[in-house]
Amino acid sequence: MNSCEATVESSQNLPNVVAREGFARQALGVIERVAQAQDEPAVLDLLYQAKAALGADHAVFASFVRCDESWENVRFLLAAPPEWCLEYQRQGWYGSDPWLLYALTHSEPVCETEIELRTPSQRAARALAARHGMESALIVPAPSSGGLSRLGVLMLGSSRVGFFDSPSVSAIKILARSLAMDLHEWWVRRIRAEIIAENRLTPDDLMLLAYEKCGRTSGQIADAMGITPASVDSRFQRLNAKFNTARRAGAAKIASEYGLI
Amino acid sequence: MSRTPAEAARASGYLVMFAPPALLVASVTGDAPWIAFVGLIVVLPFLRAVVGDATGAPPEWSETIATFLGALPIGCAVVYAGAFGYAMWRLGRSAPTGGYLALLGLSLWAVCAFATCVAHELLHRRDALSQTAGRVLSGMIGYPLQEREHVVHHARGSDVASAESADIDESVWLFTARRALRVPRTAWDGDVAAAQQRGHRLSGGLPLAVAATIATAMGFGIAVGPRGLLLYVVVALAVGWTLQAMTYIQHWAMGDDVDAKQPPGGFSWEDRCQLQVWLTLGISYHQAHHARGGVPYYRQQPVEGSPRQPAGYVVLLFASMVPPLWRALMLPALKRWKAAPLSQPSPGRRMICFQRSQS
Repeated sequence: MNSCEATVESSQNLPNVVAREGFARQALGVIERVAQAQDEPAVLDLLYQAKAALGADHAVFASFVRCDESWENVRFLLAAPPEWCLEYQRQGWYGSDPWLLYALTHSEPVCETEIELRTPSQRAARALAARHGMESALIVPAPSSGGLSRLGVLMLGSSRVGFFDSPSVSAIKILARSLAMDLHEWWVRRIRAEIIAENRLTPDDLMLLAYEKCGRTSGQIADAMGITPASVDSRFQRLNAKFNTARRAGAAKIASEYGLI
Repeated sequence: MSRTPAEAARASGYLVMFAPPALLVASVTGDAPWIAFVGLIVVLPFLRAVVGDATGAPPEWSETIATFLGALPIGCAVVYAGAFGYAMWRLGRSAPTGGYLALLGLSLWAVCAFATCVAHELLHRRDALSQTAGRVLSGMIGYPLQEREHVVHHARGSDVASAESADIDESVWLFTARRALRVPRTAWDGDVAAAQQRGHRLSGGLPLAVAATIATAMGFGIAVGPRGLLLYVVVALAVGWTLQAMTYIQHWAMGDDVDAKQPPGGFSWEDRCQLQVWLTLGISYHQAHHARGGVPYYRQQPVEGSPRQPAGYVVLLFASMVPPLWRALMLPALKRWKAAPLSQPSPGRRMICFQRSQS
């Protein structure tokens, strides 16, 4: 019997899952490997293993940016029916998704029944999830600190109504929170590397941005880096173009928000 | 820091964004209420012959010039507000005839249609001042739903079912009717969600825009009486329809009709006419805009291989009102794009590109 079959058999209800021998050890064994995952397939494989260990039928991790109403920067890891994601994307539910909205303003994990659905779109987004096997869900935000704009949210789902409405959910919450934060940190590192590669940012560029964030003038930066003030200005002009900002302060702010400096 | 005269000259082209409010002022100052309509709708398409297409990538822009360009739309919104106030004041001091008001209505419609481009740029920004200016401007021109409509439009991309993109056989009339039914329904919904994102119970921006609409309507009502109010209401409805028609033009046949895999943001029609790029603040680089909506207008550039419009927005807007004419213009362009996306002809300095597909 493989691990997935074992999960299906034992996950008739949440107390059984939590009472399973080695439950926490198995989940932690998966979670601690997230940080070492080399690429998306590897981390997705770990998400599949983690959802099985936590007794969930489905798991989705969304990484997104605060103040991005166009939702251009959202990334998903999907251990759930792909048809759900396709329909979700076609409808562009991001801005109406009550679970993403919850993660924007809260940090504590909750069962989805505790999240108020205030609009028809939010109810439709919830109904779509239910149609694709998320009858019950645990929503686990992964907040950021230090000015980072990227947030994450882990959504664990079950096709059994009320699965997560159980006192045993507290044990799941502890592990799910750890999983969500590790996945979030993995995405932040991954996206930081992508931005550096795509924009061909050098260590000197990042140093310039860090100096700007500290409020240094062109002259002070030039002295510190052993280049001329004109060269500092010229490099900032190039960085402004790469970050789509008008001024260096804007570029430094974005670099800070994306964890580059 | 390089601040070459060439860069400054290139940046100065964007001052054209002030032309619509200036023409509105001219319309009500002289006894010629048609000036803005004729200038923006009749003369503008011919200026393509003078200015031609935009060439090359935008410069990196020095910080001084980039800051200036960044501030321009906010200044332009202020100028629009001033022009509207001045127009009301002038109308209040005169006794306009029905004919005068009808001609002024055409001018006001043309001016407001171009103002949506300035509002669009401001609404895409993240800072509170720009967003507030964008909301007030979109409300003032009679289309307070612009922000909410646009957020949904970006999220849904090329979805035909929800009227974000038009089917190849769909007329502008059917498409705009479908959108007119959908947009108001989702606007309040979106506003509530936007308020939630900010941790508020109410107001993601829509109430401010609606307040601007009501204030402007009252201004026209007070200045001219019931006829002024009627003028504003008709113009506002026309602006709302025009915005839906522009969505039709930009996304026609770019949804389910496209066989190729949709890029991020989907496919959409682009035009490289320099004057149009200046006046619309880069909206005519539409596929690029959908791929990365946060890029400021002065750094936007077209996508290589995107579908190429056979004419500018004004020509296509009127062509779309006559479906057989629309199909005669657009089907060859669609065929050209599908056959050879990297070697499509551009109208260049011509008003319309009539070139047929080689295949």
